[in-house]
Amino acid sequence: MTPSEKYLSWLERLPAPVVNALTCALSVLAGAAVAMMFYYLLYRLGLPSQPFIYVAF
Amino acid sequence: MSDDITIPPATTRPVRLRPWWFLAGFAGGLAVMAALGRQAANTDYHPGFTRFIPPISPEASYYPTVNEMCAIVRARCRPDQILVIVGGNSVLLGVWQPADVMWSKRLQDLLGDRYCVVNLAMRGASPGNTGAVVAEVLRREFPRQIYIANEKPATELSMLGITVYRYAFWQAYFAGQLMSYPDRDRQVREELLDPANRAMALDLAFVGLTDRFLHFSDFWNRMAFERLNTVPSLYAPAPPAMFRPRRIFEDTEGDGTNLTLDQRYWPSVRETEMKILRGTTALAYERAPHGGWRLSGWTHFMVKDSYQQAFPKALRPRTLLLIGRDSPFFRRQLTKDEFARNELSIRDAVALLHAEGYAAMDYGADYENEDYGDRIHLAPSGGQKLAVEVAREVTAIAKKLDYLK
Repeated sequence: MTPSEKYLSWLERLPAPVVNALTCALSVLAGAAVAMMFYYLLYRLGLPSQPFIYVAF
Repeated sequence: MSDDITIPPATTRPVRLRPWWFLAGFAGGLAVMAALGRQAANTDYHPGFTRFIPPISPEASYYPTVNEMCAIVRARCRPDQILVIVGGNSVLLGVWQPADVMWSKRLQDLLGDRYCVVNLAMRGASPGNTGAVVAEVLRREFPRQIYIANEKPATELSMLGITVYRYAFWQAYFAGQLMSYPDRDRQVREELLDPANRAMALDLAFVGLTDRFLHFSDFWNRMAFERLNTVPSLYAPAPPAMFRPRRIFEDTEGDGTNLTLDQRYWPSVRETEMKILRGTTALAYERAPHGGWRLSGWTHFMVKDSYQQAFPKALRPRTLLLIGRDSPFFRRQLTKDEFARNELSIRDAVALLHAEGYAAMDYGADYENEDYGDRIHLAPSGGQKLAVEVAREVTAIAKKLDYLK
Protein backbone atom coordinates (compact mmCIF):
# COMPACT_ATOMS: atom_id res chain seq x y z
CA MET A 1 0.00 0.00 0.00
CA THR A 2 1.43 3.41 -0.95
CA PRO A 3 1.47 6.25 1.64
CA SER A 4 -1.43 8.01 -0.07
CA GLU A 5 -3.46 4.84 -0.05
CA LYS A 6 -2.69 4.41 3.65
CA TYR A 7 -3.82 7.99 4.21
CA LEU A 8 -7.06 7.44 2.33
CA SER A 9 -7.80 4.28 4.18
CA TRP A 10 -7.14 6.16 7.45
CA LEU A 11 -9.63 8.84 6.37
CA GLU A 12 -12.18 6.25 5.39
CA ARG A 13 -12.08 4.80 8.87
CA LEU A 14 -13.19 8.15 10.29
CA PRO A 15 -16.91 8.83 10.69
CA ALA A 16 -18.42 10.72 7.77
CA PRO A 17 -19.22 13.91 9.75
CA VAL A 18 -15.60 14.14 10.89
CA VAL A 19 -14.30 13.72 7.36
CA ASN A 20 -16.73 16.35 6.25
CA ALA A 21 -15.57 18.78 8.92
CA LEU A 22 -11.93 18.05 8.11
CA THR A 23 -12.32 18.76 4.42
CA CYS A 24 -14.21 21.97 5.20
CA ALA A 25 -11.48 23.09 7.59
CA LEU A 26 -8.83 22.17 5.04
CA SER A 27 -10.68 24.14 2.38
CA VAL A 28 -10.89 27.21 4.61
CA LEU A 29 -7.20 26.97 5.47
CA ALA A 30 -6.26 26.57 1.82
CA GLY A 31 -8.41 29.60 0.96
CA ALA A 32 -6.78 31.65 3.69
CA ALA A 33 -3.30 30.61 2.54
CA VAL A 34 -4.08 31.62 -1.03
CA ALA A 35 -5.49 34.92 0.27
CA MET A 36 -2.23 35.61 2.04
CA MET A 37 -0.24 34.85 -1.09
CA PHE A 38 -2.56 37.10 -3.07
CA TYR A 39 -2.11 39.81 -0.46
CA TYR A 40 1.66 39.57 -0.84
CA LEU A 41 1.38 39.51 -4.61
CA LEU A 42 -0.57 42.78 -4.53
CA TYR A 43 2.22 44.33 -2.46
CA ARG A 44 4.90 43.21 -4.87
CA LEU A 45 2.81 44.43 -7.81
CA GLY A 46 2.76 47.86 -6.17
CA LEU A 47 6.55 48.05 -5.99
CA PRO A 48 8.25 49.65 -8.99
CA SER A 49 9.82 47.07 -11.25
CA GLN A 50 12.81 49.27 -12.01
CA PRO A 51 15.34 49.69 -9.20
CA PHE A 52 15.53 53.21 -7.79
CA ILE A 53 18.98 53.91 -9.12
CA TYR A 54 17.92 53.50 -12.76
CA VAL A 55 14.85 55.69 -12.34
CA ALA A 56 16.61 58.46 -10.44
CA PHE A 57 19.78 58.79 -12.45
CA MET B 1 -5.73 -10.70 1.03
CA SER B 2 -4.42 -7.78 -0.90
CA ASP B 3 -7.06 -8.38 -3.62
CA ASP B 4 -9.73 -7.18 -1.16
CA ILE B 5 -8.31 -3.65 -0.86
CA THR B 6 -10.11 -1.26 -3.17
CA ILE B 7 -9.11 2.37 -3.60
CA PRO B 8 -12.09 4.64 -4.26
CA PRO B 9 -12.00 6.42 -7.62
CA ALA B 10 -10.51 9.93 -7.52
CA THR B 11 -13.89 11.59 -8.01
CA THR B 12 -15.26 10.14 -4.80
CA ARG B 13 -12.25 10.74 -2.57
CA PRO B 14 -13.35 12.67 0.51
CA VAL B 15 -10.31 15.01 0.65
CA ARG B 16 -11.31 17.21 -2.27
CA LEU B 17 -11.51 20.90 -1.38
CA ARG B 18 -14.98 22.36 -1.03
CA PRO B 19 -15.18 25.42 -3.31
CA TRP B 20 -17.50 27.46 -1.09
CA TRP B 21 -15.48 26.77 2.01
CA PHE B 22 -12.34 27.62 0.06
CA LEU B 23 -13.87 30.93 -1.04
CA ALA B 24 -14.98 31.62 2.51
CA GLY B 25 -11.42 30.98 3.67
CA PHE B 26 -10.07 33.27 0.94
CA ALA B 27 -12.47 36.08 1.85
CA GLY B 28 -11.89 35.60 5.57
CA GLY B 29 -8.12 35.49 5.10
CA LEU B 30 -8.19 38.66 3.05
CA ALA B 31 -10.39 40.36 5.64
CA VAL B 32 -8.00 39.41 8.45
CA MET B 33 -4.99 40.63 6.45
CA ALA B 34 -6.80 43.88 5.65
CA ALA B 35 -7.59 44.37 9.34
CA LEU B 36 -3.93 43.80 10.21
CA GLY B 37 -2.96 46.19 7.41
CA ARG B 38 -5.31 48.78 8.77
CA GLN B 39 -3.79 48.35 12.19
CA ALA B 40 -0.31 48.81 10.68
CA ALA B 41 -1.54 51.94 8.90
CA ASN B 42 -2.49 53.49 12.22
CA THR B 43 0.64 52.44 14.11
CA ASP B 44 3.96 54.21 14.39
CA TYR B 45 6.47 51.38 14.22
CA HIS B 46 9.52 53.64 13.91
CA PRO B 47 10.23 54.29 17.58
CA GLY B 48 13.67 55.79 16.99
CA PHE B 49 12.81 57.66 13.83
CA THR B 50 15.24 60.41 12.88
CA ARG B 51 14.73 60.60 9.10
CA PHE B 52 14.42 58.24 6.16
CA ILE B 53 17.91 56.75 6.07
CA PRO B 54 18.75 54.87 2.85
CA PRO B 55 17.82 51.33 4.05
CA ILE B 56 14.27 52.50 4.80
CA SER B 57 13.79 54.56 1.67
CA PRO B 58 13.04 53.86 -1.99
CA GLU B 59 16.79 53.64 -2.61
CA ALA B 60 16.56 50.26 -0.89
CA SER B 61 13.16 49.32 -2.37
CA TYR B 62 11.40 50.32 0.84
CA TYR B 63 8.60 52.73 0.02
CA PRO B 64 7.30 54.38 3.20
CA THR B 65 3.55 54.65 2.83
CA VAL B 66 1.57 57.83 3.36
CA ASN B 67 -0.16 56.24 6.35
CA GLU B 68 3.20 55.18 7.77
CA MET B 69 4.53 58.74 7.49
CA CYS B 70 1.33 60.19 8.96
CA ALA B 71 1.65 57.77 11.89
CA ILE B 72 5.23 58.96 12.43
CA VAL B 73 3.96 62.54 12.60
CA ARG B 74 1.01 61.71 14.88
CA ALA B 75 3.24 59.83 17.32
CA ARG B 76 5.54 62.82 17.70
CA CYS B 77 3.33 65.86 17.41
CA ARG B 78 0.37 67.09 19.38
CA PRO B 79 -2.50 68.82 17.60
CA ASP B 80 -1.88 71.92 19.72
CA GLN B 81 1.63 72.24 18.27
CA ILE B 82 2.48 73.93 15.01
CA LEU B 83 3.50 71.11 12.70
CA VAL B 84 6.65 71.74 10.66
CA ILE B 85 7.19 69.09 8.00
CA VAL B 86 10.55 69.05 6.27
CA GLY B 87 10.43 67.67 2.75
CA GLY B 88 12.75 68.20 -0.16
CA ASN B 89 15.94 66.38 -1.03
CA SER B 90 19.19 65.15 0.52
CA VAL B 91 20.22 68.68 1.49
CA LEU B 92 17.28 68.95 3.89
CA LEU B 93 17.53 65.27 4.78
CA GLY B 94 20.83 66.30 6.34
CA VAL B 95 23.44 64.39 4.39
CA TRP B 96 26.85 64.92 6.12
CA GLN B 97 25.06 65.65 9.40
CA PRO B 98 24.84 62.90 12.05
CA ALA B 99 21.39 62.49 13.59
CA ASP B 100 22.25 64.19 16.87
CA VAL B 101 23.40 67.38 15.14
CA MET B 102 21.25 67.36 12.02
CA TRP B 103 19.82 70.71 11.05
CA SER B 104 16.16 69.81 11.58
CA LYS B 105 16.91 68.72 15.16
CA ARG B 106 18.58 72.09 15.73
CA LEU B 107 15.52 73.72 14.15
CA GLN B 108 13.30 71.93 16.67
CA ASP B 109 15.52 73.09 19.54
CA LEU B 110 15.37 76.68 18.32
CA LEU B 111 11.60 76.68 17.79
CA GLY B 112 10.78 75.05 21.10
CA ASP B 113 7.83 72.98 22.25
CA ARG B 114 5.27 75.14 20.52
CA TYR B 115 6.41 73.61 17.23
CA CYS B 116 6.95 70.03 16.18
CA VAL B 117 9.50 69.39 13.42
CA VAL B 118 9.46 66.10 11.48
CA ASN B 119 12.01 65.44 8.76
CA LEU B 120 10.46 63.48 5.86
CA ALA B 121 12.96 64.56 3.20
CA MET B 122 14.29 61.94 0.79
CA ARG B 123 17.33 61.90 -1.42
CA GLY B 124 16.63 63.43 -4.80
CA ALA B 125 13.02 64.30 -3.94
CA SER B 126 11.43 67.49 -5.19
CA PRO B 127 9.16 69.85 -3.21
CA GLY B 128 5.99 68.17 -4.49
CA ASN B 129 6.98 64.71 -3.26
CA THR B 130 6.37 62.76 -0.05
CA GLY B 131 6.61 65.54 2.55
CA ALA B 132 4.17 67.70 0.62
CA VAL B 133 1.74 64.81 0.27
CA VAL B 134 1.83 64.06 4.00
CA ALA B 135 1.39 67.73 4.88
CA GLU B 136 -1.65 67.93 2.64
CA VAL B 137 -3.13 64.71 4.00
CA LEU B 138 -2.73 66.04 7.56
CA ARG B 139 -4.16 69.47 6.76
CA ARG B 140 -7.29 68.97 8.88
CA GLU B 141 -5.64 67.19 11.81
CA PHE B 142 -2.87 69.78 11.94
CA PRO B 143 -4.38 72.95 10.50
CA ARG B 144 -1.45 74.96 11.83
CA GLN B 145 1.36 73.60 9.75
CA ILE B 146 4.36 74.78 7.76
CA TYR B 147 5.90 72.75 4.99
CA ILE B 148 9.59 73.27 4.14
CA ALA B 149 11.31 72.06 0.97
CA ASN B 150 14.17 73.15 -1.24
CA GLU B 151 14.79 73.62 -4.92
CA LYS B 152 17.43 74.95 -7.29
CA PRO B 153 16.94 78.36 -8.90
CA ALA B 154 15.60 78.58 -12.46
CA THR B 155 14.04 75.14 -12.06
CA GLU B 156 10.43 74.20 -12.61
CA LEU B 157 8.43 72.72 -9.76
CA SER B 158 6.64 69.53 -10.62
CA MET B 159 3.04 69.35 -9.45
CA LEU B 160 3.22 65.60 -8.81
CA GLY B 161 6.87 65.51 -7.78
CA ILE B 162 9.57 63.44 -9.44
CA THR B 163 8.72 59.93 -10.62
CA VAL B 164 10.66 57.92 -8.04
CA TYR B 165 8.68 59.34 -5.14
CA ARG B 166 5.38 59.85 -6.93
CA TYR B 167 4.05 56.60 -5.44
CA ALA B 168 3.09 58.56 -2.31
CA PHE B 169 1.01 60.96 -4.34
CA TRP B 170 -0.85 58.10 -6.05
CA GLN B 171 -1.46 56.40 -2.71
CA ALA B 172 -3.02 59.53 -1.27
CA TYR B 173 -4.85 60.31 -4.49
CA PHE B 174 -6.55 56.92 -4.79
CA ALA B 175 -7.26 56.89 -1.07
CA GLY B 176 -9.13 60.17 -1.47
CA GLN B 177 -6.88 61.90 1.06
CA LEU B 178 -5.95 64.95 -1.02
CA MET B 179 -7.84 68.20 -1.33
CA SER B 180 -9.65 69.05 -4.49
CA TYR B 181 -7.35 71.00 -6.79
CA PRO B 182 -8.71 71.40 -10.34
CA ASP B 183 -5.33 72.06 -12.00
CA ARG B 184 -3.86 68.94 -10.48
CA ASP B 185 -6.97 66.85 -11.10
CA ARG B 186 -6.76 67.84 -14.75
CA GLN B 187 -3.12 66.81 -15.00
CA VAL B 188 -3.86 63.53 -13.27
CA ARG B 189 -6.71 62.80 -15.68
CA GLU B 190 -4.52 63.61 -18.67
CA GLU B 191 -1.76 61.37 -17.37
CA LEU B 192 -4.07 58.45 -16.57
CA LEU B 193 -6.10 58.71 -19.75
CA ASP B 194 -3.15 59.10 -22.10
CA PRO B 195 -3.21 55.97 -24.33
CA ALA B 196 0.59 55.80 -24.09
CA ASN B 197 0.29 55.36 -20.32
CA ARG B 198 -2.56 52.83 -20.39
CA ALA B 199 -0.66 49.97 -18.76
CA MET B 200 0.84 52.23 -16.13
CA ALA B 201 -2.51 53.86 -15.42
CA LEU B 202 -4.27 50.53 -15.02
CA ASP B 203 -1.55 49.33 -12.70
CA LEU B 204 -1.65 52.53 -10.63
CA ALA B 205 -5.43 52.53 -10.38
CA PHE B 206 -5.69 48.83 -9.52
CA VAL B 207 -2.95 48.91 -6.91
CA GLY B 208 -4.07 52.30 -5.56
CA LEU B 209 -7.71 51.35 -5.14
CA THR B 210 -7.09 47.89 -3.72
CA ASP B 211 -4.47 49.27 -1.33
CA ARG B 212 -6.97 51.85 -0.14
CA PHE B 213 -9.18 49.09 1.26
CA LEU B 214 -6.73 46.25 1.88
CA HIS B 215 -3.72 48.21 3.21
CA PHE B 216 -1.25 45.63 1.90
CA SER B 217 1.55 48.20 1.54
CA ASP B 218 1.10 49.18 5.17
CA PHE B 219 1.07 45.59 6.36
CA TRP B 220 4.11 44.39 4.42
CA ASN B 221 6.09 47.53 5.17
CA ARG B 222 5.51 46.94 8.85
CA MET B 223 6.44 43.30 8.43
CA ALA B 224 9.62 44.28 6.54
CA PHE B 225 10.53 46.84 9.18
CA GLU B 226 9.77 44.85 12.31
CA ARG B 227 10.09 41.16 11.53
CA LEU B 228 10.86 39.83 8.08
CA ASN B 229 12.06 41.69 5.01
CA THR B 230 11.34 40.00 1.69
CA VAL B 231 12.54 42.60 -0.79
CA PRO B 232 16.22 42.63 -1.76
CA SER B 233 18.14 45.88 -1.66
CA LEU B 234 21.67 47.20 -1.99
CA TYR B 235 22.02 46.87 1.78
CA ALA B 236 20.87 43.24 1.93
CA PRO B 237 20.79 41.86 -1.61
CA ALA B 238 20.26 38.16 -0.92
CA PRO B 239 19.17 35.68 1.74
CA PRO B 240 19.81 35.12 4.56
CA ALA B 241 20.77 38.76 5.24
CA MET B 242 17.86 39.94 3.10
CA PHE B 243 15.35 38.50 5.57
CA ARG B 244 16.60 40.62 8.47
CA PRO B 245 14.09 43.28 9.44
CA ARG B 246 14.88 46.82 8.37
CA ARG B 247 14.77 48.12 11.91
CA ILE B 248 18.30 46.81 12.46
CA PHE B 249 19.70 49.59 10.30
CA GLU B 250 20.74 52.66 12.25
CA ASP B 251 21.17 56.25 11.26
CA THR B 252 24.91 56.33 10.64
CA GLU B 253 25.13 59.44 8.50
CA GLY B 254 28.73 60.66 8.19
CA ASP B 255 29.99 63.79 9.89
CA GLY B 256 31.17 66.46 7.50
CA THR B 257 32.94 68.42 10.23
CA ASN B 258 36.42 67.02 10.10
CA LEU B 259 36.78 66.42 6.39
CA THR B 260 39.75 67.89 4.62
CA LEU B 261 39.14 70.20 1.70
CA ASP B 262 40.03 67.40 -0.73
CA GLN B 263 37.55 65.07 0.96
CA ARG B 264 34.79 67.65 0.69
CA TYR B 265 35.61 68.69 -2.83
CA TRP B 266 37.27 65.77 -4.58
CA PRO B 267 39.90 67.07 -6.99
CA SER B 268 38.84 64.49 -9.58
CA VAL B 269 35.31 65.88 -9.86
CA ARG B 270 35.89 69.59 -9.30
CA GLU B 271 35.78 70.35 -13.00
CA THR B 272 32.46 68.51 -13.38
CA GLU B 273 31.04 70.28 -10.32
CA MET B 274 31.94 73.63 -11.85
CA LYS B 275 30.15 72.63 -15.06
CA ILE B 276 27.05 71.74 -13.04
CA LEU B 277 27.17 75.03 -11.14
CA ARG B 278 27.57 77.06 -14.32
CA GLY B 279 24.95 74.97 -16.12
CA THR B 280 22.27 75.69 -13.51
CA THR B 281 21.93 79.23 -14.81
CA ALA B 282 23.79 79.34 -18.14
CA LEU B 283 20.89 78.04 -20.20
CA ALA B 284 18.20 79.87 -18.28
CA TYR B 285 19.71 83.36 -18.49
CA GLU B 286 20.43 85.68 -21.37
CA ARG B 287 22.14 89.01 -21.71
CA ALA B 288 19.94 91.95 -20.76
CA PRO B 289 19.79 94.80 -23.34
CA HIS B 290 21.49 97.27 -21.00
CA GLY B 291 24.06 94.90 -19.54
CA GLY B 292 23.90 92.22 -16.92
CA TRP B 293 21.61 89.21 -17.11
CA ARG B 294 17.93 88.38 -17.23
CA LEU B 295 15.91 85.22 -17.06
CA SER B 296 15.11 84.20 -20.62
CA GLY B 297 11.50 84.67 -21.63
CA TRP B 298 10.74 81.00 -22.14
CA THR B 299 12.34 79.92 -18.86
CA HIS B 300 10.58 82.72 -17.03
CA PHE B 301 7.26 81.56 -18.42
CA MET B 302 7.87 77.89 -17.65
CA VAL B 303 9.18 78.48 -14.14
CA LYS B 304 6.42 80.94 -13.25
CA ASP B 305 3.80 78.61 -14.68
CA SER B 306 5.14 75.68 -12.67
CA TYR B 307 5.19 77.80 -9.49
CA GLN B 308 1.55 78.71 -10.15
CA GLN B 309 0.50 75.10 -10.48
CA ALA B 310 2.76 73.15 -8.13
CA PHE B 311 0.77 73.77 -4.94
CA PRO B 312 -2.87 74.71 -4.36
CA LYS B 313 -3.15 78.44 -3.71
CA ALA B 314 -4.48 77.87 -0.21
CA LEU B 315 -1.35 75.94 0.78
CA ARG B 316 1.25 78.32 -0.63
CA PRO B 317 1.50 80.78 2.27
CA ARG B 318 2.47 77.94 4.60
CA THR B 319 4.91 76.43 2.08
CA LEU B 320 8.45 77.64 2.70
CA LEU B 321 10.72 76.97 -0.23
CA LEU B 322 14.44 77.30 0.31
CA ILE B 323 16.68 78.31 -2.56
CA GLY B 324 20.19 77.29 -1.66
CA ARG B 325 23.62 78.31 -2.83
CA ASP B 326 26.37 75.88 -3.70
CA SER B 327 29.55 75.86 -1.65
CA PRO B 328 31.63 79.04 -1.87
CA PHE B 329 34.55 76.79 -2.76
CA PHE B 330 33.00 76.54 -6.22
CA ARG B 331 31.13 79.83 -6.38
CA ARG B 332 34.38 81.72 -5.81
CA GLN B 333 35.80 80.08 -8.92
CA LEU B 334 33.10 81.65 -11.06
CA THR B 335 33.98 84.75 -13.03
CA LYS B 336 32.52 87.99 -11.72
CA ASP B 337 29.95 87.86 -14.49
CA GLU B 338 28.97 84.25 -13.77
CA PHE B 339 28.80 84.99 -10.06
CA ALA B 340 26.42 87.89 -10.74
CA ARG B 341 24.23 85.58 -12.85
CA ASN B 342 24.21 82.97 -10.14
CA GLU B 343 23.19 85.48 -7.48
CA LEU B 344 20.52 86.95 -9.76
CA SER B 345 19.03 83.49 -10.33
CA ILE B 346 18.63 83.03 -6.58
CA ARG B 347 17.05 86.45 -6.10
CA ASP B 348 14.76 85.81 -9.08
CA ALA B 349 13.61 82.45 -7.75
CA VAL B 350 12.75 83.89 -4.34
CA ALA B 351 10.97 86.89 -5.90
CA LEU B 352 8.97 84.69 -8.28
CA LEU B 353 7.95 82.40 -5.43
CA HIS B 354 6.88 85.36 -3.30
CA ALA B 355 4.90 86.73 -6.23
CA GLU B 356 2.98 83.45 -6.42
CA GLY B 357 2.13 83.48 -2.74
CA TYR B 358 4.78 81.13 -1.34
CA ALA B 359 6.97 81.79 1.62
CA ALA B 360 10.52 81.60 0.29
CA MET B 361 14.04 82.39 1.35
CA ASP B 362 17.56 81.86 0.14
CA TYR B 363 20.49 80.64 2.19
CA GLY B 364 24.20 80.19 1.95
CA ALA B 365 25.32 83.74 1.15
CA ASP B 366 27.71 83.94 4.10
CA TYR B 367 28.53 80.24 4.51
CA GLU B 368 32.15 79.12 4.34
CA ASN B 369 33.86 76.16 2.65
CA GLU B 370 33.75 74.24 5.94
CA ASP B 371 29.97 74.69 6.18
CA TYR B 372 29.53 72.25 3.30
CA GLY B 373 30.38 68.56 3.12
CA ASP B 374 30.43 68.71 -0.67
CA ARG B 375 29.19 71.10 -3.35
CA ILE B 376 25.60 71.23 -2.13
CA HIS B 377 25.21 69.33 1.15
CA LEU B 378 25.75 71.13 4.40
CA ALA B 379 28.15 69.96 7.08
CA PRO B 380 26.89 70.26 10.68
CA SER B 381 28.13 73.87 10.97
CA GLY B 382 26.22 74.82 7.81
CA GLY B 383 23.19 72.95 9.09
CA GLN B 384 23.26 74.98 12.30
CA LYS B 385 23.36 78.20 10.29
CA LEU B 386 20.49 77.03 8.12
CA ALA B 387 18.44 76.10 11.19
CA VAL B 388 18.85 79.60 12.62
CA GLU B 389 17.75 81.24 9.36
CA VAL B 390 14.83 78.87 8.85
CA ALA B 391 13.67 79.20 12.48
CA ARG B 392 13.46 82.96 11.99
CA GLU B 393 11.42 82.50 8.83
CA VAL B 394 9.16 79.82 10.31
CA THR B 395 8.35 82.07 13.27
CA ALA B 396 7.54 84.91 10.88
CA ILE B 397 5.22 82.66 8.87
CA ALA B 398 3.52 81.43 12.04
CA LYS B 399 2.88 85.02 13.09
CA LYS B 400 1.65 86.01 9.66
CA LEU B 401 -0.75 83.08 9.50
CA ASP B 402 -2.04 83.68 13.05
CA TYR B 403 -0.73 80.35 14.28
CA LEU B 404 0.54 81.86 17.53
CA LYS B 405 -2.84 82.95 18.91
